[in-house]
Amino acid sequence: MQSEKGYSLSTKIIFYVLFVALIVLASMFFVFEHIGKKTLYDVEREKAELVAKMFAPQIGINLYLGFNDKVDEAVKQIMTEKDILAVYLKKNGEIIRKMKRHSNGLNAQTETFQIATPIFEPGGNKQIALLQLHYSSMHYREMVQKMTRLLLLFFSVATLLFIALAYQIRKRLIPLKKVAGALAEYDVKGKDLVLDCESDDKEIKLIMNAVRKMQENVTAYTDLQENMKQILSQKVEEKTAQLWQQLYTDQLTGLPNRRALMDDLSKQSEALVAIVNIDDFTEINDLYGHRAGDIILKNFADTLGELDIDRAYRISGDEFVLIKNGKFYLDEAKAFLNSVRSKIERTHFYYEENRVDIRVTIGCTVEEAPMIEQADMALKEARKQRKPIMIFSSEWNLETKYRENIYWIREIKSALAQDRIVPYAQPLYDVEGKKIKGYEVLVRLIKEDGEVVSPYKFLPLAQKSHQYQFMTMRVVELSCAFFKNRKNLTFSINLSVEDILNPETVSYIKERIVHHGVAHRVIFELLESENIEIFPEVESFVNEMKDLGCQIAIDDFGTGYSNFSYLIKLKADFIKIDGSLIRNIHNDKNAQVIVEAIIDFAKKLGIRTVAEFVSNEMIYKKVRELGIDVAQGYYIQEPAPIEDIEKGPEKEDVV
Amino acid sequence: MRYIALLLIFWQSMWGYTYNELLLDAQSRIYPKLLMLEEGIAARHNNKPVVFTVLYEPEDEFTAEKIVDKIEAYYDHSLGGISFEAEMATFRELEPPFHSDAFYILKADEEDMKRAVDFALREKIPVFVYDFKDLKYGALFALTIEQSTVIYMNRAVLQKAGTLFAPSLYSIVRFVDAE
Repeated sequence: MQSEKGYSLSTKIIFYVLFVALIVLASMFFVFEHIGKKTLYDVEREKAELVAKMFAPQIGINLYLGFNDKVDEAVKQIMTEKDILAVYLKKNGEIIRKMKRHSNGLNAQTETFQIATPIFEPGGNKQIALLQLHYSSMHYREMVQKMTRLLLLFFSVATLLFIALAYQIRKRLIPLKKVAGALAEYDVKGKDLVLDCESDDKEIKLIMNAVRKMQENVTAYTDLQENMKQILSQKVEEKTAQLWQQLYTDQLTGLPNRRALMDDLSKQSEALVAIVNIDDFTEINDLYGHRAGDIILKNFADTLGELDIDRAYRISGDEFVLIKNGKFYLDEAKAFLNSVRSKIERTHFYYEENRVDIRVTIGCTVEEAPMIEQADMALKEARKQRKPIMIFSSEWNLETKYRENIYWIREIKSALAQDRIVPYAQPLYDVEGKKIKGYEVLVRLIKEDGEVVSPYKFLPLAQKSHQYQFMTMRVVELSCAFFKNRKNLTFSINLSVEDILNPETVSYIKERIVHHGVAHRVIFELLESENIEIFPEVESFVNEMKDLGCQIAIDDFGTGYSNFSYLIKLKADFIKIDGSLIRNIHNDKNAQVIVEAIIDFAKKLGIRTVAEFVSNEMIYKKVRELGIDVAQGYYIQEPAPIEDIEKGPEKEDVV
Repeated sequence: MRYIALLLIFWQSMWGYTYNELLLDAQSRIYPKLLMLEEGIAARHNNKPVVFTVLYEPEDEFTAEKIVDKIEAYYDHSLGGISFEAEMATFRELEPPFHSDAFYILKADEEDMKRAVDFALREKIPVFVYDFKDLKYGALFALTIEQSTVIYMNRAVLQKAGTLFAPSLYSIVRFVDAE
């Protein structure tokens, strides 16, 4: 395209030649006009001057000697020069001799040279006369005309030569144009390049040979590329299919994965959707190793393939989804799920000749979308209720729950922004010393209408909505600031694993307790949860805090994931015995036995014990009788705004 | 033609000489100017007058006086800005320390003519003669009036005397070799 818009090479060459020729001709013209003409003029003038100078001495001597006739003779002699048109001899400004030739209409001013030569006395410098000659410029003009004609002839010849040169250039470069045209239309996949432009010029021949060679190379390269393209295309197709399969397939079991499930469910109208969870699968991994776990999972998937279902999916580590098309009533669904569960649990799985029995929990739905969410909720409910099978019911009012979640998330955000997340405090009563030794700081959300909301309503949602760290930071700051000047009191702050795993939160806590100088009076209550001790960050946090002088309490000990080993690992200073053990301790022998064991263990390790949920005098007495160090509960004092503890320990006297 | 003219002149002298007034007048006017064309004459006569002496035989005294009068009338003791004096002397007075810058010799005996010319050659002074034929004795200049005025210059004497004149003079004189 660029070549079409620009000038052709031949045009450029012609232009350059024309340019140079014009400069040369202009230079010649200039030389002729300004040097040639002047030279001619000077030559003619010198001739006239020569005549004048030649006769001047003769006239001078004759004038000197008074030979007037000889002066006349000299003037006549001057006039014999055909180019002399007139002679004037002046003495003291007066013409003493004058001789003129017939002028033939010549203009004396423009067509003659006028030469004036002084005549001196012989042998002296005294000017005695002035000789004026009118010299014809005819010869000069003839020479100028002659040279002008020569110049014009030269220009004409040069122009003709230039036209011939331009013609030759264009003619010589035509093959190049043809080559360019052929190249422009050349299609590597089409016919071969036809170069119909023979030339005798060596350079053109070289170019055409080069183009032909290039065409051969291009053809060879194109063929090679075509082959490579086919191979690549094939590879890409294979890889795409492979990636597509990977995208929608679980690599371990070969079953479709969660993405495939979501795609399929979006097209599904009526079906039974069941999430099958392998109970305690982590134990299989722990016991036999992950390789064994993978083999079991693969065999499990194979077993699912043998069931009377339409499709099976693996959606996470130990969770599978079964779909059976069609409309199901609850009874039909239960019967079907029972048969599925029965078949799975009757199947024996093996790893290296070790038999592994599997039990499953199934959450199912036969309702319309959102099926997977419903099945998931059913599964959670089944786990909660420790039932093997649970079928979702529309009466569970899922939508309402979601709306509530959204409400609480907004409320938490709003409360944080408006400082409506506030610390409450509940006394920790020293049973032996019979006095309040400190307080546990509890978080409360104050609604706009003043209603005080307990954390169990918003804390789990706060943790899921990423507002939790700000809530923790606010409680830490307010607590530290409040207890800063109450140096006879300790205070406990509850921290979750999420808090400890968040470096920003940990850094903030550390900075604030150092800033307020409360490190030796703060107790961090770690909520007992699954595998809290396996996180190195938790151990690191405990070490750092203990170095600062803080104390550690393990909250809700005695239920769930209670593990004595981590009491040592986490260097606990306090064990807060779970409220479920304390609540009926005054009349529950089993609870008493467990609590006694905990106390005995704790005392041997030098760990102090705290009893929560001490809600009446009977419980308190039992707690004291068992030797628990600290009591906490409504019997002592219910949680109150942190500012209210200034009023003092109300129940101290009661206890 | 030249020999015929010389013959006519010799013929006339045999019968006593009568000077041509027109020629005397032309020579009185032109000879001093020719003298002033001698190179270096102005430098040589710094503040001193150039002396132009008319040599004559006693019988031509009147003619000599007339010539001196003419010259003084023409130039009034000054020529080209240089003091100029025209004097007259007989051949007998031509004895050292006679001083002159040029001789204008009228008609004279051969002996006097030769003596004057020899004197002039010794003193390196140019000699002008009235009569063209006297150039043969060694005079430098002569002037005749033919169809036009003609100045003759004796080339042999010019080379011998070594005197130089303004170059333009050479372009108008007619050279003769007479010795």
